[in-house]
Amino acid sequence: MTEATLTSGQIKLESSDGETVTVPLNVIKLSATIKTMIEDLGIEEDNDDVVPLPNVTHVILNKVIFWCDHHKDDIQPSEDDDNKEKRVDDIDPWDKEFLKVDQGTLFELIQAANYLDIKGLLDVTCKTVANMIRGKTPEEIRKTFNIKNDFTPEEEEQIRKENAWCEE
Amino acid sequence: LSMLVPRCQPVRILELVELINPQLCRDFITNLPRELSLKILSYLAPEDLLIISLTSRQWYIMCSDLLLWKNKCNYLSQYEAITDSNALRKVISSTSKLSSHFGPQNKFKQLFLAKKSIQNNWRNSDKPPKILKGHDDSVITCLQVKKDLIVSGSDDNTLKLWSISSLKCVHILNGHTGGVWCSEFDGSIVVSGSTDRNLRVWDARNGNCVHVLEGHTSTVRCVSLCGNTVVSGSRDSSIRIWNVKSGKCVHVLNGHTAAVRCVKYNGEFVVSGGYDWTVKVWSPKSAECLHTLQGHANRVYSLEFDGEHIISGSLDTIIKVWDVRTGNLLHDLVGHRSLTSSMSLRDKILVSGNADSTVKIWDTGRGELKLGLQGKDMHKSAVTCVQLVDPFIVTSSDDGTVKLWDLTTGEFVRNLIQLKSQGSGGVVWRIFADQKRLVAAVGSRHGTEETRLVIMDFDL
Repeated sequence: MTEATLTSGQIKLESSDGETVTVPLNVIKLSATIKTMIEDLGIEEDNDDVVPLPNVTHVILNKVIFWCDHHKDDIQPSEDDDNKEKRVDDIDPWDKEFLKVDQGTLFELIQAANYLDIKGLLDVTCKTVANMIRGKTPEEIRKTFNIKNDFTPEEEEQIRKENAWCEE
Repeated sequence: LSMLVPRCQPVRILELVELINPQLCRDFITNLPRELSLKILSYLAPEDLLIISLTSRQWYIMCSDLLLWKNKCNYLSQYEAITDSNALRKVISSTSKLSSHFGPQNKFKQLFLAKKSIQNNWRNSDKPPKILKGHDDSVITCLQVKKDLIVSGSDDNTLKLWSISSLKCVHILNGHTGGVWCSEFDGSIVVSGSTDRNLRVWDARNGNCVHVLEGHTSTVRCVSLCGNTVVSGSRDSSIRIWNVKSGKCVHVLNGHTAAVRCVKYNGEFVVSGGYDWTVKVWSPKSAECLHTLQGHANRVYSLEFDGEHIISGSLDTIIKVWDVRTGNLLHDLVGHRSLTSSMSLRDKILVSGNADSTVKIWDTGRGELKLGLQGKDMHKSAVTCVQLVDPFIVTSSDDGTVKLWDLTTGEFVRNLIQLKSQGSGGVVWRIFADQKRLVAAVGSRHGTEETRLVIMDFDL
């Protein structure tokens, strides 16, 4: 398949719950997983071949495609970026709005971005969770994410002592 | 459900909310695949990781991941200095109990904690400093520290080698017949320059003078040692390149038309600044002058050189950034009002200390002023030395104080040293600082203070 067809054709994807979605190749090319499938497995565009995605529901798939469509013309992040200083204050406003979702959806988006290998979406969803964590006390985090404190009092005391080296 | 809810009393609805809300929650760190949880945590600062590790056992385990911390400690060179520290030993012993609950401890996290602990001591420790008295009432002109050894040079014609651990002068380097004005020390040899026109090479193990390097026809004002080569600049306006093993002069670099005040040698280039208002770049192999950097409108007093960029400080108040290969002027750093006497460069961050009693932080890549260290706590008189010791800046002054500042915010942290006669003759001439300690050469102008070395240890 040539680069030309990658920018013009369409492809059918089937979600885990059996819905088929047709999506332009120049949108879904942001998914390295699907790009590789098309290139390596020789799946033809514009025919009846359907790519099954057993790990992604149609609700999430539609959200992912919506995100890819908005970002299809972005400059792609490179692996080198991972070595740079981790910034979290650089989430674009559109993404911020897009990610105003419940935790369950965000959770599934992270998994879908990982499975489909969409680096930009994975970065921004993980950053969003990091921002939900930052600056909170352990008690606030437990409340935010419904987590039970399963430390013994002794363990908790030991960890507090460990952290005390850091306090001013 | 949509029929039921509107009929409920508000209290019941609130109960319902409390029942439902947790169902909408996800424990990302526990339930995502490990590499994704770690990716999320990689966006958090080390300080955050420590706090949130108290959430639950699984969070603690994830937040203590070895690779996560290895990446957080990515400037590992900063940690080298503390791999053998009291702080690290204390952290390891105090956290050893956790190992029985959560498996082996994370050495990178421990390094981070130890470093934090040392930084807190920089900020807060009130442990009294150690004092080494020497050089009578003379001025200490130069100061070097390597591991346990301090070298101090003085206008009393001598240098002294001190041991920090035993708090004793181990050798007096006697031989110069004029004041010592500059020295270099690589841990095994000391090279010194004097008003007696000579350089001397000394063996630090026994204090013996190995070579007398004769040739300059006036005061040796600056030296730079790299490997077996030492480069000297003199008031005779020449530069000489010497082999410290053979004691022979390899080259004489002529070109400056007035005294050479500062010199840097990195193995590849010799860079010199002089009273003829120029900076020169030389090839030490061919002894050629590669570039003459013109632009300063007064004497050049100080240089920093990172192998790529040359930073020159002058009496004309301007600091200039040059490209060593092309000889082009890249930036003028404008803002000081007098002589820039001391600079400290790390990456593209430059700290400059000036006779106008201010200290400034510059971005040499952009050619911009980042911060001025000012306010009511600023130095009251000329700044003599500045040193960047991440995350701090240490500065000393003719006002008899050594001050600690926050590098990122420019905020004053505290006075590390305040001489009794500060403001009335007490002077801090030279400082040396690394991650764990500070050494300051102090004294006075009118005999109000004894000349001495003040040693502060922050690795408690």
